Amino acid sequence: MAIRIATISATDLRPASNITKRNYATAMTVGGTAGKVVGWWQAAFVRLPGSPNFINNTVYPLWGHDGNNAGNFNGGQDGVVWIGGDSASQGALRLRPRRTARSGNQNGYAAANQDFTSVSALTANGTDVYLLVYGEQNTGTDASPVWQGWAARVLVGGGVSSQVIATALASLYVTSATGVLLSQIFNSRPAAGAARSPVNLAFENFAHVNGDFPWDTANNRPHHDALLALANGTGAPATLHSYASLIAAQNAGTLGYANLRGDARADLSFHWTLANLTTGLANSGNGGANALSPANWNSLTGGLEDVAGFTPAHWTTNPTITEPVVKFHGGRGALPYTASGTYQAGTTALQRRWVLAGTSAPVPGFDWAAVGTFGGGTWSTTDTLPFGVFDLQVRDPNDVSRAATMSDFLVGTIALMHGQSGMAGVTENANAPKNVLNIALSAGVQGLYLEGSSSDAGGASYIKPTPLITRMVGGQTPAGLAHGALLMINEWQVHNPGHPLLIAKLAIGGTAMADWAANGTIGQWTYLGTVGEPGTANAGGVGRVGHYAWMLRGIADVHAIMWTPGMSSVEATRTAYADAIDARFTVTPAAPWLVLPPWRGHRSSPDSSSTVAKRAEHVSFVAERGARGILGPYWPDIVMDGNPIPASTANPGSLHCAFHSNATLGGSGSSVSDQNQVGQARLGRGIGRSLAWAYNRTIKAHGPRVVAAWFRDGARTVIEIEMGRAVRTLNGAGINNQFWISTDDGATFAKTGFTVALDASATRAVLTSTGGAWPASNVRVDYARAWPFGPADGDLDEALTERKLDGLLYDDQVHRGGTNLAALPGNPLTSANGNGVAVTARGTAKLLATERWTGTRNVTVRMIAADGVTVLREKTLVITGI
Amino acid sequence: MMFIGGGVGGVGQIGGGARLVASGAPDFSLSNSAATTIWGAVSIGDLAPINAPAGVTFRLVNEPAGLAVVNG
Repeated sequence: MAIRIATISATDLRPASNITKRNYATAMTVGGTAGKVVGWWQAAFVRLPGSPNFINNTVYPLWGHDGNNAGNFNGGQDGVVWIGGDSASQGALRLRPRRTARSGNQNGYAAANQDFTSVSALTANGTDVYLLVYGEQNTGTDASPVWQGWAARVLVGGGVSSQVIATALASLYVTSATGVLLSQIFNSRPAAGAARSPVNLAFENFAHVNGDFPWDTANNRPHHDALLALANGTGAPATLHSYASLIAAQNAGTLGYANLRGDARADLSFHWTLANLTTGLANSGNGGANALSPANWNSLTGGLEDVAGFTPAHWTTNPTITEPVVKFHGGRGALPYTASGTYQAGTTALQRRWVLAGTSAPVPGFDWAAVGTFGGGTWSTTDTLPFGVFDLQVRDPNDVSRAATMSDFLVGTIALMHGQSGMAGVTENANAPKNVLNIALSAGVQGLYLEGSSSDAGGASYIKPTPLITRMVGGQTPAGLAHGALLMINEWQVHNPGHPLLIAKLAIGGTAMADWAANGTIGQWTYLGTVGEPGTANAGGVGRVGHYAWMLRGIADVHAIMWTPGMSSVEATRTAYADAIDARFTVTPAAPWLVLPPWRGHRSSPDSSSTVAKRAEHVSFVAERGARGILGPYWPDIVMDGNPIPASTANPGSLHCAFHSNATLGGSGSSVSDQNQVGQARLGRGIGRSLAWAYNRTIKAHGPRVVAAWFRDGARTVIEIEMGRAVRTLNGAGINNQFWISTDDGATFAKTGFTVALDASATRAVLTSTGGAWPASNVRVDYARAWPFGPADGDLDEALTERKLDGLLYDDQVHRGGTNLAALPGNPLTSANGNGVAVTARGTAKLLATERWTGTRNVTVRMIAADGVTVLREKTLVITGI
Repeated sequence: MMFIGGGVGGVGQIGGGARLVASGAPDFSLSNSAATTIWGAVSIGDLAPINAPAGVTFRLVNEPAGLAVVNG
């Protein structure tokens, strides 16, 4: 295991006591030898993030001391190891180390910053792992010391490169004893604008060593055999080492390298494995207890996260657990998961058990038991776990010190989000800044957010995609996720307490379903492709969907889709798309398709995406999926992000939900604000509720809709409309009349000449004429034929009319509406939408089923006297849906 | 003194101010209790008053998802 930055400017690691520089000219006893005049070195296994987290024109601090907490590391006692960004303005620094060394206001090097431009550049791709070492040491003798700074890197499985700065370190720096060599690993305290450790930067096995690194006297450099022995690189010597074993052999004089300075000595004073955030922060070196602690900044928590380890296997005799890219298993607690790994020579047998995460409490039925397969250096176990969050432990029952743990493995529901930018914009991270509403995750939330980096493989040249995988835990306020995603899982949690949810954003902006279905080319790969891990040099035939299917092990528990305007108008294409998804997510061939038809692609009815046809395509998609199709609530994307500005009839909007938060980016007076949670926030909540509803139909997700309409009596001055749901307005607002009446059989509609009220049950709207009786025939009603916003109807600026949203009718439990859809198979309504629902004479009272469901439901019916108050009879009836 | 079962009792008060008439008086029937549901509205059965005064209406209690009363 290792630790990575999950949220920038949130959390770093701080030792209980800073490591302060010594006067290196003073001799000391080290490695069992007195009179040694030595310096120090630091090392860690490092994995740099790929794009988009590592692309800026800057340098990134890795570890050190930031005295003024500003991220500039220019204090009088500051020191830091940096890495140049891959587009740093100083080309020679790109992806190479830099050291700032200062003590007693004295620079160690000739310049404040020393760049190691002769060290081979690292690769920032989120995959390659390096041993990165920096030292300041005596390259002479104890009697005649020479102080030089150096840096080296070894690609794990690859080559070694080092550089020694020829000019000696400044003597005042060498003798000063006030500089701080380490007060933090990662740099997260500064806010935006300062140099900070980037998201996905990961470390494992950090060491601070008092003493000198094994030195190659012939080449005057850190001995490459020693570096290779640590990192198991190409050409490594026969004996591989950890820090501890290397230093022990050095001090014992048994390293045996050619041209090795024989009298160099060292002490492994501090070694933090960084294996995880619970057990990896203790010091296992000789420097005494000096545990690391996560330090939170900027009112954020949880900025660090455990990830799969990457230190070479020779560092341990323990078995290994091969951690999946995505530590989340779908199937809602009903699908088996196979864990596997390796074991080392000397291991006699292996057992496994699953425990509740962070505890030693076994999951019932999954206590210690022999693994399923064991032999040839590999093992595996296959278990069907209930939903929850667990740790997997394995051990040799005959030597329990041989053990390994995979922590924080989630079992729950995987929701795959399909579409283009309208869908993507609800959760994606392309829209900076994130979590602008500072939404906290509700207590009990457990989940992951997965977003493939379409831009990587979609760019001008191929870059292996590095998906963004972010853990979501109740109580945290993640700064790195869109608030739409956070509100989505909060809403899910209301109905599924403790049931983990993985939100996987498959949608890509600007793409059409037909292109996906045809496995067209997008950038450097294809939409569908084969299932697997994309290659390093090219995708190798793997596609976007294939990559997701590989990461999620062929499991998608529910498909949520809203695709405007790119939903295909051709049934064969829609079917081809669904079939292509099924062909890759083969473990869940019966996963439901939750379809969210757009009511208005934009607020304005003239917009092409708000047509009946676009909604009809979505409804058709539901019907074509058969028993797997679920018609969700309509997509009430009313408040947009304001682009283009100003909106106009000819240019009515971007189809992207509002997501900004304030006056500068879109507050009062602007059309791009979500500060009242009516844009991205509304959609996030609504989808979260809808996903829950897909599995539990007693959770209501549909909004109001015109199920039927009739004249109350022969006077025809009152129309009653059954909406199938208890509804309400928000914030105590009065009803903004969005009911429309036609007296010419749907040719024309108006919303004047009557008042609107809800009856006591709130399931019915009552329209009362302010004039005479309505005609006996050709009367029709409709809801929300056009929203009360510009440009076609109402004010141009949505922000100025935002409060009108409160007056719309919402489902009693969710901020979503729902209304008529085109008359197609699977349509919840009978209206053709273009001409509303006919108002009939009041007929026989009927009990209706208003959506597709099966099994039995109990319904309590009251018969009420004409006074509207007296309950004459109440009975609970058992109804069977077939 | 005892009331005879099935006799007319007092009018009770229930939540929301509605009054509940003792059982045994007016009743109603549902003509059918099953239907093949669809993504749309489909009739399950008619609600017919029995021994009830004119003008009665019907309402659902607790509003179960997927069911509704019309013309009631």
